[in-house]
Amino acid sequence: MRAKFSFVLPLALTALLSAWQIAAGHPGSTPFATWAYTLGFGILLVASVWLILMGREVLNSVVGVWFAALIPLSLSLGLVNEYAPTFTSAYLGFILIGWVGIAITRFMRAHPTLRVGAVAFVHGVAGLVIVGLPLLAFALYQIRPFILGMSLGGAIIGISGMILLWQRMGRSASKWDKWMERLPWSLLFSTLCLVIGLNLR
Amino acid sequence: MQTWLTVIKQRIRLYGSLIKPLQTGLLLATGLAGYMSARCPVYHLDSVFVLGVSLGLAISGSTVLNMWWDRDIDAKMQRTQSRPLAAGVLTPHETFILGVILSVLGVGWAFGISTGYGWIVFAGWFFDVIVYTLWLKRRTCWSILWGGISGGMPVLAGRTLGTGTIDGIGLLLALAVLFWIPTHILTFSLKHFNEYQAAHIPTFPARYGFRTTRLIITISSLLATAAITLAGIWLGMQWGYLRLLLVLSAGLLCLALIVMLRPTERTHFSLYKYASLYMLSAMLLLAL
Repeated sequence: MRAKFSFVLPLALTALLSAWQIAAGHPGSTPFATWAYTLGFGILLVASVWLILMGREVLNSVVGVWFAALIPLSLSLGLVNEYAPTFTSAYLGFILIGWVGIAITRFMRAHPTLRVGAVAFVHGVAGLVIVGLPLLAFALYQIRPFILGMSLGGAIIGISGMILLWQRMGRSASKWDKWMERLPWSLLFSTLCLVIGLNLR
Repeated sequence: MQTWLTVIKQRIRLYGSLIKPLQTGLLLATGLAGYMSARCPVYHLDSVFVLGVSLGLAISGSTVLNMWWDRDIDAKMQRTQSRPLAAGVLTPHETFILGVILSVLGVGWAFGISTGYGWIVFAGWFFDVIVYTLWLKRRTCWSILWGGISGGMPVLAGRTLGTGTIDGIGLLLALAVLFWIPTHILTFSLKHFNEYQAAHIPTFPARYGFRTTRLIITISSLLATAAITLAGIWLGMQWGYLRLLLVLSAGLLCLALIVMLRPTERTHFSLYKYASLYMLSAMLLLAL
């Protein structure tokens, strides 16, 4: 089955944008934050290419969901390291435990509520950090408003992840198809917001 | 006049499909990347041009001769039945002449540019046409090893032309292509297993089973990414590009692992496509 142009184009642009961000680096960021952002954009890049090649098969896979969870986790970790460095170790611990928790509940086939709960909790905290920390940084420090792009991008990624999860749990094929059509554009828009936020702040 | 033009256009189109433009383009890209990893192309446009043309001709020549020799196999496989030679649109004699002319021009020009570069281009042609195609392809599944060595020659040739000598980085890049070839070819032989069986071509899945073949794909992907990353570090690649290379390498390794653990037709095809994209991107990054 050949993928539609309207499906491939936004994903290809997301991949290119992420590749550029990884190669260009993040001027002014600490090496730790740079690696955290690299992980987030790296998964966005690889996921976009895989989505072009494999379509929904990526999202049907347990491993796919597990790795996708790293996008908000790593981006929020980079932000914590830059704007609340004293919390870096504690937040890194939370991320590691949360990510392993998602893996355990997924791979051990735990009760659906527990599975969704683990992802929702970890995603939720990471989402709050990505949305809240740039807002806080903008309010407290003299940072250009472009940083709010990170909040917007993070919010879209977080909401997309949640919707994706609920759609999977609901198993409504028609809604799932509709969502799949919108997913590439939401990925592109959120990546664009994140890149603007990181580079023009 | 109009008829002649139509005939020429038609012939060019047919000859174009004989040289497998995507495969030839990818190998040519590795050769150009090998050169650009040593010299800035902007200041050596003439060298880039002669390298591109000579290497392109030699690779095209070997591909056409491969098509000429394997026309009976192509006719048996559904995937290749429509190729001009297998479909009877071109004659074997015409194809053979075309392959020889392209090969002589490409290899000859390569020797004219530099003896060392010429020998490497010739070695690539020799391993592909004589060792892989004529001698081993129908005898053993291990023929792909020689196909891999041949595939590694363009990048080594480009690098050698750029530096004037065969160096460690060039060998590492050639090794990377050699390890990448199994990921590319074995995935293809998994996807088209029945067709290869029908054509009596020995393949790894037929000889060692699907599970072992997938394991080999994963190991060769690991070795290919390691060789390319090492070459990048040795070249003093910028941190940003190296980070990007690591991300793309991780993508290839994860996909190879997925193919090993949860194989489906779609994941096989995706790995095949991703491997090509990976090689092209890695070469582009090395050239920057």
